[in-house]
Amino acid sequence: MSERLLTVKDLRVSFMTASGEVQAVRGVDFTLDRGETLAIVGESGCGKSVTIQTVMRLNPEPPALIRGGSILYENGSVKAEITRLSDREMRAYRGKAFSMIFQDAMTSLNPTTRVGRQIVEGILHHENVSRAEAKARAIQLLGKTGLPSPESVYGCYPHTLSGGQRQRAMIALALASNPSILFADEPTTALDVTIQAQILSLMSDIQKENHMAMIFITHNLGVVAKMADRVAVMYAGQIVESGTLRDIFYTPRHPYTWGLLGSIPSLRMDLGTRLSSIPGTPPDLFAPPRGCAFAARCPYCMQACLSEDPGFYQVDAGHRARCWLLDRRCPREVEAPVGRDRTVRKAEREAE
Amino acid sequence: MSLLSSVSWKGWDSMLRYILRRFLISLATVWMIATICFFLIRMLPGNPFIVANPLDMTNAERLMDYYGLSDPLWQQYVRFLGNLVHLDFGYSLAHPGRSVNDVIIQYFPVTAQLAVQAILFGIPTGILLGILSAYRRGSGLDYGTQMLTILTTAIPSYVLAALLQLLFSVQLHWFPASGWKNFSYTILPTICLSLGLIAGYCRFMRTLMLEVGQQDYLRTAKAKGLSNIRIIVFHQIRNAILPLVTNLGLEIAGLLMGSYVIEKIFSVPGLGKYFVTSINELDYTMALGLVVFQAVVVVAANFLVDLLYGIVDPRVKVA
Repeated sequence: MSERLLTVKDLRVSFMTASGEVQAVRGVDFTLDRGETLAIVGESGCGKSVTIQTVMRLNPEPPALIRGGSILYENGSVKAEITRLSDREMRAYRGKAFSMIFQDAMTSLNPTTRVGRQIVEGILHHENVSRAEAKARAIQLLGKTGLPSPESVYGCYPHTLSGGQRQRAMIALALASNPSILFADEPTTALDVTIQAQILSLMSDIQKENHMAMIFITHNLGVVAKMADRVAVMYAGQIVESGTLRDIFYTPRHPYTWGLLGSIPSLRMDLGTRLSSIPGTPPDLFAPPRGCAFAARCPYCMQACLSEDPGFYQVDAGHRARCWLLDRRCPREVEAPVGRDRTVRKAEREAE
Repeated sequence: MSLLSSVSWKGWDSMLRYILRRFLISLATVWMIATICFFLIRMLPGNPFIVANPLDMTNAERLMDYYGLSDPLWQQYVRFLGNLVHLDFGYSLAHPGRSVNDVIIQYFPVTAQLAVQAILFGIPTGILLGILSAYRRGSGLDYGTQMLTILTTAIPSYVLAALLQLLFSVQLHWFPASGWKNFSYTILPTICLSLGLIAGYCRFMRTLMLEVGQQDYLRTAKAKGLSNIRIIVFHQIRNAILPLVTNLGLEIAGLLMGSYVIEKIFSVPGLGKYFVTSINELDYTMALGLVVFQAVVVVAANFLVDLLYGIVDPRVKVA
């Protein structure tokens, strides 16, 4: 049923800086099917943006360097190993196969060029259409994003639009050549909450209509719950847990995921309960730790965690986590302190 | 529909009002400069006739009376303003029979020609070098241009002028060393004037290009699949070049007034010389006339640049 569009295997990306090699992405695997939404969550600097920008090869190379792994893009007869393409070859894919919505539409749109022209530029680059056709299409796209008078927005400069309007224009720009995969890098972080909700529903409507695949980067778990089919939790350049939306929210298995979920307020929470935070800071990616990257901050840290990387444990079909607690030999039985299942169990216990 | 108003007639209306207001402010600026300079130059000790021509006192006094310089200062000021309104700067005191207007009409075109040539050659060259060294940052070309710009900025123009004469006139015999007959005479002074421009604009443009190079919208352009050349030309250069426009006004005004040193070295019959000599000779009318003329040129150039900026940068709101 599902058609695979993207297969990322053991992707490693480093930044070669004057002070050394920063291992920003350290072996990331994920897949993406048509029509599916994958959310990548994690704190700032965990490598989520670098990962998707590598898929589009947007990171300037150098300093970025793909150290290893593969990114396979398949769409019908088109099959491409993205990591091996030259910049010139990449141009055909950027905007057409993949497109991206950036966080801050204010800075991501060219301030001295009319919005319409910026959209038309992309259309003309990828398709052999006349300027008038491209213009008509741009206006149609702007209308589709819910902008009230697309003809006038077409001739506007970005600074004359509101934040929400700009993000809609940005979406129109990203959709210009009907991409099969849409990346969204924190598309609603810069917007206020009511506009966030509008933009999110607009994006899922458009996704359904165009039957696109979408990768959503965010650190807002509320957004994840609303948008995602599958979730990958990233920490220090690695995916530490991935699974369906239910897996991650109901039966999370990695202590880092527990930490993330424990740090958001919930309606079921007892009054007076303090939100938990994860103590410490992420590891230095100049010299990543030998064992589990989260070990230093993990309340359940064991001897093995410090010396050896756990690797992935398959929890269920499609649900895996990178944690020693899941090993058969693990002496401790740790129950997840968060997640819906825990809440349900707690309610049951109290009922008894 | 409110979005459309920025391009409708209402926009032009506010534009016209802006132009009118700026014009009035410009006039006031010129008036203030003229007034301040009028009184400042009168505060200098001595009088034009003793300084220029050591005549006996009676002759000097007679000349003072003749030119109306013995009248109360406020009367002279009113007369000066009256003439100014008619754009009449009066007669030179040091060169009898020559009006200041004649001097400007005769020598300003020479200075202006040099200035325009220097600008047309220097600014595009500087910008181009700046773009190239930003694009090839860290390369030999980049270090080379950076070193050259520092050198040309550090070496005084009269030394450079003499070196240019030595190389191109004395050694190579390519261009005449001095004088003012045909185009070939203009080349060395033009190069000399434009070297500073090239250095300044090269460094400025390089910095601006690198600054714009960090902007998110270039990543958006790349994400659209555009080629590097297109991204650089249509997105990076276009945005980087804007702040340069502001600089242009002062640059043009400064050059249009001529460089005393350069004109002297290359024997160019330009306006620069009169600026210096008129002050030395206490030639009140000449000095004042030239200062007011310069004020008009500076103010007008800035006015035009502001208007131009409003057109090239849509974020700048007129009115």
